[in-house]
Amino acid sequence: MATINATLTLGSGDLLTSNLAFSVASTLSKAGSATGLSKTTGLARTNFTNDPIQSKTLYRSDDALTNGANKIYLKNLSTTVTEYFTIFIDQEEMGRLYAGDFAFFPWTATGGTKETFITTIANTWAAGDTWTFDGITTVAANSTVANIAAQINAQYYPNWTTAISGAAVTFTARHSMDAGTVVTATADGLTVTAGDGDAVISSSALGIATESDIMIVPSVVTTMDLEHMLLHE
Amino acid sequence: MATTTATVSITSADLTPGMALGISADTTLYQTGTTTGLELVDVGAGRLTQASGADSLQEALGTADTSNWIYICNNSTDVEQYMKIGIHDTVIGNLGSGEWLWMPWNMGTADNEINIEAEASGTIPYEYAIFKSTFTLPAKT
Repeated sequence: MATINATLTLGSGDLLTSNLAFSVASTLSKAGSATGLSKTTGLARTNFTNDPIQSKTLYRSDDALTNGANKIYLKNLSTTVTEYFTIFIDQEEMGRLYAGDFAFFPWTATGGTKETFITTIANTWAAGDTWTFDGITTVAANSTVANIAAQINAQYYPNWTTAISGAAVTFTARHSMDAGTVVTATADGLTVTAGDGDAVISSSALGIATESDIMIVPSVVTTMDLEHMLLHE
Repeated sequence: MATTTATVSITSADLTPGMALGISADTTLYQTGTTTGLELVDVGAGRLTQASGADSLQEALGTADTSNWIYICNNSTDVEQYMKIGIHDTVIGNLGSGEWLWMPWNMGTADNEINIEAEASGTIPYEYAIFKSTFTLPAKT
């Protein structure tokens, strides 16, 4: 475990008749315990330069433990007073960070459901037969279906992770998102075989979008930089 | 105009190997997109119980798209007592005992109220400060 201290100081000599001056310090712990948080994405700087203006997903709920004692630090590095970032949690607008402003707040990271399906390599395959999915083509090294499934499982897919059991490969989306109303089907893969080999897709389940991804929108198309860090369970 | 400053320090000697964490940031609280200081503030303290459910800490009675800041601190010393913080129907996060938050708040619509809820038995003491660009007092009933 790590020891992380976070301190906020607020002060004003002329906002009220009485001086406003207080400081609060806390040691960041895991939910419901005194054990310190120990994971972080590290302190990062992200540039926003897009024309037209585009939002970015800064942190996905999948990145942290749902209902964990996760914390987010943000700072607008702009020095132009009119430039701001708008912070969204899912579709709820939290507020604006103008030039030099910072924020530090807890984050529940409420997750969604990742889309899944199983593809089963079956019937007669031959060396040189192919199966293509998510832009990745696997070329069968031999005719053994379990070996071909192992080859498919060993590939890197941009949008999916995989696990294998015999000749069946389970695909799981890398991110929880609402993929619409159509599940992944056999036709979404392309099988090219000399025999009657197939790769039937079954057990498809739709994904459900997360409810608390952190989205950031800059106020201008010119360059703006955001400093940020996620501390999480 | 008033000058109000906020400073944050986040430090850790052992979070990342070979690189001590030492964030220090400060800002002056300005009215929206200007260098004129914020002049409206509510400072208070209260006690939450689980039985009370979610309570509105502050209604969104200001002007949309303006600079406003929220400070909330959970002053409980029981590590199992945490506060759930939300904006209308969206949960932002859970504030553990002794923890605080500092975040901007856009009073964009009447449905942007800040709500707080105790998530453990007993009573949770808390304190808050809300700095605002504009605010309209609730109408008399």
